[in-house]
Amino acid sequence: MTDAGGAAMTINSRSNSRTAWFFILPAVIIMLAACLYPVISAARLGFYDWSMGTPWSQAKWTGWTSFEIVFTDPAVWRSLWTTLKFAAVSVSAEMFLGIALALALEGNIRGMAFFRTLFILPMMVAPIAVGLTWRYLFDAQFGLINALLAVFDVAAKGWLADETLAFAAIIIADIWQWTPFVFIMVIAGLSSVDSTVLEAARIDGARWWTVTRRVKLPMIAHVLAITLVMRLIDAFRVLEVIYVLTFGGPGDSTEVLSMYIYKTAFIGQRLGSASAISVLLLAVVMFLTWLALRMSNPLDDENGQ
Amino acid sequence: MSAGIELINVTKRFGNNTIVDGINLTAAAGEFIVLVGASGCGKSTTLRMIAGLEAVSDGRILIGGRDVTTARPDQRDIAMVFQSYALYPHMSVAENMSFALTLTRAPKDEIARRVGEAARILGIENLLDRKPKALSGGQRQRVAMGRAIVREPSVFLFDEPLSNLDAKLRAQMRVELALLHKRLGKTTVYVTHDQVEAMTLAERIVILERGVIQQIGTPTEVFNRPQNLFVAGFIGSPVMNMFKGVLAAPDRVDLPDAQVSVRLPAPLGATVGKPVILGIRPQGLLLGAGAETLRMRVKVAEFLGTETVLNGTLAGSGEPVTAAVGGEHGQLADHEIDLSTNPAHVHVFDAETGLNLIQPAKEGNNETT
Repeated sequence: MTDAGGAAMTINSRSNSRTAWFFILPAVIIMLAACLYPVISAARLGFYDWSMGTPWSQAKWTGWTSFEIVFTDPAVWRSLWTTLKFAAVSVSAEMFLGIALALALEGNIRGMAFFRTLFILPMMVAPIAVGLTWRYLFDAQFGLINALLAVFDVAAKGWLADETLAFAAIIIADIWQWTPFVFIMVIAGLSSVDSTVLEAARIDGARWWTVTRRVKLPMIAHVLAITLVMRLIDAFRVLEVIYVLTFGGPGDSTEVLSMYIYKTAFIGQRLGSASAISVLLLAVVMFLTWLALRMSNPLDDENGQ
Repeated sequence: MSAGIELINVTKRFGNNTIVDGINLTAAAGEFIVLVGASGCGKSTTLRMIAGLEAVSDGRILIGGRDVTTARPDQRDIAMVFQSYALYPHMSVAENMSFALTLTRAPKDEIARRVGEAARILGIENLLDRKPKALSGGQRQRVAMGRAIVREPSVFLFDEPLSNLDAKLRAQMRVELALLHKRLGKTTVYVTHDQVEAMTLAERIVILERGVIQQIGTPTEVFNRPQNLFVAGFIGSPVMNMFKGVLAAPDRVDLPDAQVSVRLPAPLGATVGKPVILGIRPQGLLLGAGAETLRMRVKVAEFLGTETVLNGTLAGSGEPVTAAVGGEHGQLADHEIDLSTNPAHVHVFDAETGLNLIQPAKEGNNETT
């Protein structure tokens, strides 16, 4: 291309880009209004003492007091710790089970399409419905789980009344709902793996487990990393299932950060503090999102082609 | 160590489709065998059965005299180079090459020595720390070969290894492959659809069509004595001319439409009056009238540097003709010219069976069943 042509291209693409901005402007405005405004106003709320239902004019400027609470209130750190425990246990179980299922169900065995569809169903259910379903399943008197345990002569357990069992219950519900997500991501990743590379590994003397561990999984490392981060983001924000299943209890055993924020805002009527804690949660989730976006870039040269 | 290969009645079926139909083939230790044929002829499937990546439906495979029909790929003492190179994308070049050795728990200094040696042979010593995606196609090809060499197998298997390279690099790698074979002296089975690769690399060529061996022979044999129409049409470039004719006398074929009679190098034993196909290599057609003259209408003249390839039709019959004549003759396009034949390049095939009537199968040359 000639220099003149190149210059024309640049000018052209510059005006093209202006036109493009014009077209996406409505979407940008709506996105900013829906996302950025609530974030900013929540952060601003952190500087005030205000109760819902009272006029904003009565709100008292409290400065950094609410944010100091974030660092001094033991309940914040306790619920953050609970969130971390919840995320670590449920996400690692989901990753393990999702990968194992995907490895078992990859390939073109007859009837696999049916099982694959079956396995992703839990993901399609609304979290509130998942919570309700599991509340009935875990019910001490009428629940299916205790009924099943009775078959094996195991005494009925008060699943949602015991601190350890309640924590286990919310993790089980989360695993049930979100293992399919890991499964789908890994199945998709595995299907993109060049089969001749696996054949080369077989000729090199690698058996199934070695091929899986040293060739297959490393080849989809990016997919695994993104899946992990996306699951962590969701696990940090988890609310609905816990809200329905345990409401953070018994005691504060299942009180994750978002549950504590909810209680602070709508039960404790301390909106300023709730907003300040939300900013903390937002920071954690934004960090994880940044990680995810950074990892999604090298996907295109996954197979070194 | 190098080991011979023996395929005994090897067959592969997928459902009702027979992909490879009872192949019998013996490769001597150190021999370079090329399997060639159009896509879907069963050549890659045959190679994959030798590698153990595909189970045989019937028959037996022996490597170095040992029956490996049901052995795992790594138990067959083979190494394979794939068309797509199949390098491990997450491993460096050195890790790619040493992967097999680390699985056998070979000592570290032994691995380093063998990787270094292979890298030196292939001229990729400066690439050892790179990942495959940072390499060019030719470099990846070398790494794939390096990975095979490092294992010091008895048999090398190549599945269209040069098909992903551009023409210039392909010619260069072809020469390097030939040198490598000379140096290592390992039994090699090489699959390609490119008859030039087959002719230049092979000690013996195996021509496959629809899962059946059409001919096995040295490059000279399959070029000069194609056993049937398929081999005659597949080997040689440009493709052999084929004209419909009748055996008018034991040493004469008439082309009725073109009103020409062509003399044969030797009298045939076949029945006079039999419909035949007269095959003449483009190199067997000479400019100028001779004892018998073919009239050709030249449509396109392609000058290739040392020769000119004339494409056109035979006057009278309209059958396509290609003649490769020495020198530059671009001016002949759109002219009608006289061609004479060189009897050494003339072949006669049975119009029904397709078998060569001049050159009956040589002893030991026909391993097909």
